Amino acid sequence: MAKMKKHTDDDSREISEFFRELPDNERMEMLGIWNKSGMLHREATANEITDEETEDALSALHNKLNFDSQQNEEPTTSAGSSSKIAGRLTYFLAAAAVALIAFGAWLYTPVTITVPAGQTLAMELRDGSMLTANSGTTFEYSRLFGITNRNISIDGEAFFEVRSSDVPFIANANGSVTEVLGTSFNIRSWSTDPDRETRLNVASGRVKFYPQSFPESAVELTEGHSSRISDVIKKPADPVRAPLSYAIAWRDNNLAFSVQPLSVIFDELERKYDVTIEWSEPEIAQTTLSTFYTQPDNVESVLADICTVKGLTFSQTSTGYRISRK
Amino acid sequence: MDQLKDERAVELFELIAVSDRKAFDEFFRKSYATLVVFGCRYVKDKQTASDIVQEAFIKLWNNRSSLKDVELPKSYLYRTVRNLSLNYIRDNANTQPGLELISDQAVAAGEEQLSWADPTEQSDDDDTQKRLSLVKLWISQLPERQREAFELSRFEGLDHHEIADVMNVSARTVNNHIVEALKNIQKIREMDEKKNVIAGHG
Repeated sequence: MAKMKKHTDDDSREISEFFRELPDNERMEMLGIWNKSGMLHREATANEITDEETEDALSALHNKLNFDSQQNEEPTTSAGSSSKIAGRLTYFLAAAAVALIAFGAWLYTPVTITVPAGQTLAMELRDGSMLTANSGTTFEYSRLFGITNRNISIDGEAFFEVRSSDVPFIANANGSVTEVLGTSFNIRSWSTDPDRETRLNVASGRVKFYPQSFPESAVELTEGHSSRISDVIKKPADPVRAPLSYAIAWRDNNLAFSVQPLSVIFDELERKYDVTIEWSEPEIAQTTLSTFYTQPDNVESVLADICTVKGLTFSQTSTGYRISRK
Repeated sequence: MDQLKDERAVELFELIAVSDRKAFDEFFRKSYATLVVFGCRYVKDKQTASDIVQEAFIKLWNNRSSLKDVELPKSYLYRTVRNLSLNYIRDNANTQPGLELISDQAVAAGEEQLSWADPTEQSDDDDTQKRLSLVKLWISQLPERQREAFELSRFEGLDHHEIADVMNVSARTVNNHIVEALKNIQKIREMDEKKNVIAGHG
């Protein structure tokens, strides 16, 4: 079978050259290491995991795959017992009920929108508020948004310009709540962030900011101020003056980070440029960097700069890039 | 435990592709231990490695319809386990206490803890065991890529095309990694021997 062709000729040429060039005593020693390591490793592996452990893992796997319940499942066919409808009226009522239930269900199914990687989205909400969302952001709101409520949840980053109204505009983001009447502000809140941090920057007006689980700890932010909530700090951080230009750099296709771990920066690049970025050692992702890029042309120029600064190098993979130490 | 033969792996893959659960179970039984030990070299924890291997098999089952196109069945699961392990390390890098978990010393310690059975059980061949744990220590000091390639070749018995498939590099690169690994092992060994002569242990 063609699939099974071994490539031993290719494999061994350079390796046998290596062995050939060694002095005699060295060669024996290294050949011993080469030949025996495989065999003994396999022996040790067999000792490491017992058959019982294998069986336990297999039945756990069967559970996860629902094998047992599926085995007893009857094949489903459409020729089942379709109930006979007695008269036209019954039929009509049933259809109306179904339609009503479907409409009710539809009404209560929230609208979910995810911005594709590599794109940003600007849209007007039904209440007249404007929303601009960064690549990869997901937001969700009820079909009654702008009628009975102005609640929206967001995972990602977005800039809101909220139309004034008596109905509070409430943005939920990973356990944080931002409540306003009419103002503009930027929320950055990625569920993939190590601490699930939500960072709020207010551009104009007055904003109330608090954790979902602890509304009493609310802080009020005004123009030019920033606060944050995360899994690590449960109460909102005291509002500080923060340059808005950094927080909303993404809206102008700029990249701005102040003392962020490379993992956060790589996440952002992945979403912005729709690529995957992997790294050879976990330590790489933990070093921090502050940086501001004005409308970078492509991800490679950004990566090249980061790598130069941090003594790293990057190579192309089938879906993106791989970062490793020089 | 039986090693999974290449021919059998191909047969099993063809059977799994048509939803044969018995073939799936056989494949699992024959490769589970090997893959857990393999995964442990990345994640340093048997339970985590076990979870990852199970996840790899879930992926295998869910993708069974596309298995016909898999050219190298043996490396398929190694690759999945490797990718899942690297993702796990990446995703847990921030929550795991102590980053030194991934340092070379820790790698060596992890190896000793896991891979080589209690020497008392193997007293018939004590010397070989001792020499082999030494070899493992040397391997653990290799640069990451070289170590991976060497271990996949020697420990997992994969050929260079299979290793290239697992590591997502060319076979030529694999070749270079392995030759470099051998050269480094030789160097480390020489250094160790000099040290041992001075310190008088070993």
